[in-house]
Amino acid sequence: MGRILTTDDVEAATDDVEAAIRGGSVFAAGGSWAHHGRMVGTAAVNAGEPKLVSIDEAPDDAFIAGDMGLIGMHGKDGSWYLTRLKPYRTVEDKIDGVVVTFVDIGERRRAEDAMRESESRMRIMVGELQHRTRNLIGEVMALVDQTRTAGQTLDEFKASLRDRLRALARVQGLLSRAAPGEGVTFDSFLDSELSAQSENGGIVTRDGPVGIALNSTSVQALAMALHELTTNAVKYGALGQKNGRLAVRWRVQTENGAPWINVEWKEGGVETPPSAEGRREGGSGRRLIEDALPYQFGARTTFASRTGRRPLHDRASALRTSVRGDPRWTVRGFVTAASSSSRTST
Amino acid sequence: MDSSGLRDRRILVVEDEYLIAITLSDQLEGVGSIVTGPVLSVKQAMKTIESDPEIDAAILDINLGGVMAYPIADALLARNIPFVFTSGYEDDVLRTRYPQVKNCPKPYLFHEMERALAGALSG
Repeated sequence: MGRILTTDDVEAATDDVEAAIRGGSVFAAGGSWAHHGRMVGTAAVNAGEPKLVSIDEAPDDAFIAGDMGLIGMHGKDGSWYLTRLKPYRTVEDKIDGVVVTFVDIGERRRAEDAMRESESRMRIMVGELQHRTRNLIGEVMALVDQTRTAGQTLDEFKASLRDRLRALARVQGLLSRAAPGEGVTFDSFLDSELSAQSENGGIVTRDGPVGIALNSTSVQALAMALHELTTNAVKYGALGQKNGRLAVRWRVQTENGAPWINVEWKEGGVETPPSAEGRREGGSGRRLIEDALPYQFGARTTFASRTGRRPLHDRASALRTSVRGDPRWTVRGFVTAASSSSRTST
Repeated sequence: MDSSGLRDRRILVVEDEYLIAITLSDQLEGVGSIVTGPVLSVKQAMKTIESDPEIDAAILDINLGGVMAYPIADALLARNIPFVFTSGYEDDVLRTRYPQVKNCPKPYLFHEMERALAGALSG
């Protein structure tokens, strides 16, 4: 007749084999220890209630052999037992049975598993960080090459590179601060870029839904493009003049099941047409605006500036582009606001 | 390194970062190569490999927006097109799965890439 193994049995078996036998804590198994011990242990643990069985219940052909075995057992409910097998002998020194003890090591095991898992997560994160850092340094190196243009003074190069690196840093900051599951929203993104630079005047109108998350593949390329637009607007366009007007309008639409944000950037009220000579970094800046977005996420982009291929009337530059949104986007509100970009006005 | 190894060679550039892609393409063109691409996805790269039988060699960023570029590597190997990986990873997978392919880890200087690619072409 089997009975449920208790802590006392386990202790008794461990401390005093004789006592355990006397208490009926006896188990008979045939064949080799490892094999039968494992079978016995599995059967007992899978039942969820490790049992000790009297020797009488053992099959007639069962025999006991070997020394102590120590086997880890996996229970059906994810529990873990350490199974200890200890033969006992008769006064004639004949092996007559075995004491099986089950020690619940679930807690320790779970702690070890958790530790291992957290270590492996950490390794993956460090690997990913390593990858991103190297990638980012690669991008910075590319940015150095892209910023260098013919006829540029060293000071101009330094200023331009520094500005672009700061834009890159801003977007990294936005990405790291973004709430998990939310991403960077287009409006927060636009505000960050505009407030970083606009200080010389001009009226900025923002018009579009608030809370639209950007797809992570869009963020950096869009940041660089907006940075170039803003830089140009400050130097030669609407953000550099008192009567300048910048209107940024964005709308959301779904295309083939994917969310897209259609962005329009228009500058007006620019009194003195900027001269082509004044725009030395035009080439690489133009690339960052016009080519990067289609390349990076398949945007449809048209860009025109006064010095570009298409002459404009009353506009320093105009961009129309689609930007990939995040499928999790939700509209939190709507902004239609005009503000002066001048920090000196009150 | 003598750049003649890459002159007039048709190089496929697979790279998911625009800045790096465009800079690498400029540099390759600077040493007389003809750049195919750049492209940034497995799909685009596979299409290019299938439609352009003239590709002499390729530069393959192994992580394309979180997607591993192994299918591209396999397609290049199948066509005997020499190529070089570029990866931010110190990658065991690359070493075991493609022991014969050189990795030019990011961030690299162009002359390192040039040397690696010329080595792949002559090897």
